[in-house]
Amino acid sequence: MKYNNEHFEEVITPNVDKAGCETLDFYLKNENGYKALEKALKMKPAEVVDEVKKSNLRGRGGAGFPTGMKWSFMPANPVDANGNPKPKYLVCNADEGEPGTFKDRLIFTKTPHRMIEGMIIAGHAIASNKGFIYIRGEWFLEARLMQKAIDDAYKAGYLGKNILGSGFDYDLVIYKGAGAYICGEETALLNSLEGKRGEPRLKPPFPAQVGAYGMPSCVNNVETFAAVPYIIDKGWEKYAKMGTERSGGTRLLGVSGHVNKPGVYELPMNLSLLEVIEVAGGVKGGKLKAVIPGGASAPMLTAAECGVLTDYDSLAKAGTMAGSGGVIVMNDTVNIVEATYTLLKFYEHESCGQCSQCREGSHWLARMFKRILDGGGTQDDLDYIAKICGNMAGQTICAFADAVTGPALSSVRKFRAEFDEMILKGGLKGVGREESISHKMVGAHV
Amino acid sequence: MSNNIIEVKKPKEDLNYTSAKKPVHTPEGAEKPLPKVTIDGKQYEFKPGDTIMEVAERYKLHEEIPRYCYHPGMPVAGTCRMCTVEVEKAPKLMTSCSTPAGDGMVVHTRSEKVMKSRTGVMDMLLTNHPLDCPVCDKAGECKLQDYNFEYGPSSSNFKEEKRVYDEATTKKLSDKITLNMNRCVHCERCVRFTDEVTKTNDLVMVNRGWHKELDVTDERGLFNDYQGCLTDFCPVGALTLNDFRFQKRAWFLDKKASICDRCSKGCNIEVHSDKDIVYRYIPIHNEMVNGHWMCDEGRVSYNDLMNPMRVISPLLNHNQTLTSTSIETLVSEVKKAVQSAGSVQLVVGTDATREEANLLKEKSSAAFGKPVTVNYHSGFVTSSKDDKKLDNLLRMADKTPNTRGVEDEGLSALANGEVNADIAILFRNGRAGIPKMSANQKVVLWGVWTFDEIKALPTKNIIGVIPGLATIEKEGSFKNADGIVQKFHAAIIHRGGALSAHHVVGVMTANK
Amino acid sequence: MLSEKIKNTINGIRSQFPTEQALLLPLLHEIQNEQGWVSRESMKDAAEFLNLPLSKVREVTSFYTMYKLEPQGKVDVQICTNISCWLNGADKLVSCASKKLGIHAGETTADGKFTLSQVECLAACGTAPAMMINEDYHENLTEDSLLKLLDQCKSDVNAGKTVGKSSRKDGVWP
Repeated sequence: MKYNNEHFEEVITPNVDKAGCETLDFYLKNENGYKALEKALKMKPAEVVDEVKKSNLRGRGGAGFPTGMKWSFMPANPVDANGNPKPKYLVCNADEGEPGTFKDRLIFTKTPHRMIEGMIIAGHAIASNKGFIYIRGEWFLEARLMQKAIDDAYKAGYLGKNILGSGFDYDLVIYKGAGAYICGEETALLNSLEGKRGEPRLKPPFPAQVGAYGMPSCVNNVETFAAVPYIIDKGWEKYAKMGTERSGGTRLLGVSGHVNKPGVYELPMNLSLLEVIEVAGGVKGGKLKAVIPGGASAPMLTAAECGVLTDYDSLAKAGTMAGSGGVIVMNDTVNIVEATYTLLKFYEHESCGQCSQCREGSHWLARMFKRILDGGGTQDDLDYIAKICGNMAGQTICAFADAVTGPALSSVRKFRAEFDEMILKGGLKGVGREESISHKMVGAHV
Repeated sequence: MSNNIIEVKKPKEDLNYTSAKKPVHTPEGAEKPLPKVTIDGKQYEFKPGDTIMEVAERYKLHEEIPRYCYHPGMPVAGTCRMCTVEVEKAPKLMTSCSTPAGDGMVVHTRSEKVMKSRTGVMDMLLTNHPLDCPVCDKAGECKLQDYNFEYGPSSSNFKEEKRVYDEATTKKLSDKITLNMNRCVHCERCVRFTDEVTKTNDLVMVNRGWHKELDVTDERGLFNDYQGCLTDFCPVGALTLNDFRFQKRAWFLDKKASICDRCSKGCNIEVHSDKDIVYRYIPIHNEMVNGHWMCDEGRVSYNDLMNPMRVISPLLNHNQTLTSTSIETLVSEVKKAVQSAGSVQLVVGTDATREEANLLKEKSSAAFGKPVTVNYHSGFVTSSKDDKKLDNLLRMADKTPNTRGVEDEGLSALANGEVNADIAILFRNGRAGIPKMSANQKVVLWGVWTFDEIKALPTKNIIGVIPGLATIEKEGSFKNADGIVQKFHAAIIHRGGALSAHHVVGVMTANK
Repeated sequence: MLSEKIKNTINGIRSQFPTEQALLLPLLHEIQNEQGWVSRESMKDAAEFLNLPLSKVREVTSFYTMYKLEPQGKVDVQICTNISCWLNGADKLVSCASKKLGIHAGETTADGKFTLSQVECLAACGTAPAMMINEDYHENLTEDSLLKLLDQCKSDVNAGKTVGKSSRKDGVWP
């Protein structure tokens, strides 16, 4: 599909609609499967890292950190106190839990080998011989499909000892989580991988120094790994040119909500949000009202602001973030206060509870929004929302608290009139709406 | 605050409570210049690896960095976010408890950003905290109160329903500890304590987020021997000691340092009393002896002093009844009995202070007017060589505080733990064991005794009871199992008729 | 006591992980699958099997939402009510299921066959509204398709068949 970008071609999803696309045979026959691995194993690890650095690949999990740079943080030859070499671990973050995000699931079910190949290449780049794939617990089928793909790769000699005769060994192990959104955070994931509560760790020390099981580790997202074979195969320049000056390649955007054709679309970054929505079949059931461009944690945008381009820097400039690429579209039948409450309820439920501000603050915000919906809100509350968010953001162990402030602050700032109306008229009943059955409040009694 | 003099012979290395396993004193004779960190405009030297909090603590900065979850005796958590400070060149506020100090680092602990953050944390913690101060033991020594007073906020905008833990609102975790979960600020010090210090894992914090709840791990409840320490370091009134619950408001208590006399560890304690009635003991930090902790047995041992069965006036046996009398009369009768008897043995319990042991060894023959054999008796071990640790923390097998000190005086142990003289004078301070004796052994009881103990003696041939002062009522020193001599002063004034050993010996010597 | 099957499955993956504690989440998944919930007894067995203190096991089982601490119905109907599914009518599905089963979200039917619960985002937003029945995903739901599914589950349960574990192969990890 033409997107007014002459360099664009699909990196990860060119064949996901074809039958049998998840098998090893298909990958080998139709997608130049494991040829990038062959090439990478002939390169020096530092060269692979350099290639990825120059391609401007940025982490697709939500933080957008340059991947090549992250790989270069890994120590070269770490040793423990007795001088014995420490193993390095590569960890794939497949705990896709950000509301509105569903792109990794596509990769798992339709092109798992691309991700596996990416992980092996990454392992070679950072001189690690073992990779863990941390999969969210609810993905029973996806984990089993991935295990089948891994087994096939072992049989064909792409995993295991002496891969393709290069002398490089690599093992891949699947680990299932058990239902905690916070385990998508890098250090919480490492704790969960160790069999503990998924509570984020203090940084420093960073995972590159003390990671999984105390060993130097590097955590990357599924899509990040899936982009690596293309970069090695076709070269960094091709990948970099597809994107903008500071972020290369394409992005998988999962468009959902009130659109006619919800789904995952691989798109160049020079499209505006409005164009993205058009690609997804346009708004359904009404006029466009608001868009959350990067998963639930991204501040929402009004319809008027949706002309912004979908690359990392443009979205950051517009006061929101590219995040995990979950574009949630809302039409004008949606009451923003209700929609935000749906998200705040989620955050209240998923906070790990370590930091005082996040534990109490996420609970407070959710309850406050519910009170406004029930008709007990006052104008002071709206002023106080900013104060609570100011106390939470930037002062906690991880970015969860900042994520809570995303929807809370942006909804009040950009849709103030709706809040004012709801407060004035006495809640949902006053504005003629019924309470959602899923919003029934859980009491404060534990 | 503490008046202890410590002669350190050799520090023990196998203590598992040593604060962060680093020396407390600044090292001398370092080879190259130590790195320096600037805190609030002043420069401080530190050893590489110290965190900002440790540097601040060591130099006892005038304004303490506030904290809930940090405790020097436990691993760092960094979750309460109260100790955050501003570090120049760092983009966000850093927790001082976990950030290593760097050479040339500049830290501000009272800047505007930091104060705002502290107010923010307080605001958050107070949202669900019940207004229990009028009925909470912790009032007056509560960190939430103290920090709220210092950092605010002065009012709250929280209008929602406060979180209530239905089952754990008031819950007995064991017969020593009560939990008021609604007050908890989730610092998890208690859980880290039972995980890393006592290593019993008997507390657990279940669930996540806003309904995290403290619970005992299994049906045994709390079973470690240091449960009282939980109430020392809980920053709020969530964990309270049943022994002290509702007894006394903290601001009425006088606080004086002393030494626990319930075993040979000699934990440093602070005696909390009002009008010379003791309400509780708490441990004082001493890196060489007891770290930050004390065991439960020692903690509630002050109750023995308050025991109405304790003998606190001179008693003379008159027609088979112990009758109250003056010390002069009693001493005169005792001396008569001693003179008319054959052999005389004085058994010094190993709970006597070093000064008392010395006094009795040097002066008893002169006081009694005839040669006296002096031996010592512990009742728990034959000699200090048989002493051993009962767990990985503090408790010792020898339940008397001064066996080594008494041995230092050159006394020998009572053979077979049995009295063997015509008349025996048994000197003990309520803790040392009572030696074996025959059914009609003539005895003089001296020191801290209870009527129950007297009734339980095999003999009825008691000449008299000379009441003595308990450990916290007098000045003295003990030598503990590790060889450390610790001196202490009187923490309370004895208000009964008991007398110091020196005074009694004086009266004896004067009586011809 | 842990069943031999579970012990064998976990022993089979032992070599893949550097520590024993890492086996805790997989072990609890196996227990959850076999018994439908994780009882205090099972937690003690798990702690013993992995040489962990019971407190560590209790922390983990109560932290993660997939480990149920109370017996569940044979059919666990978990409807997502997060933002994308909510925008696409998840509420109607919850009411519909609630009416059909005669219970509110969070409850189990009296005959112990069905549990209804609301869950957070399942990462199936493109095919919203979505739900899980035990281990299986069901997407693009409408009230009709939901009712049909529930009927099918009911007849399967009555016939003694396992419901909602279509991709599971016995004794094969994961």
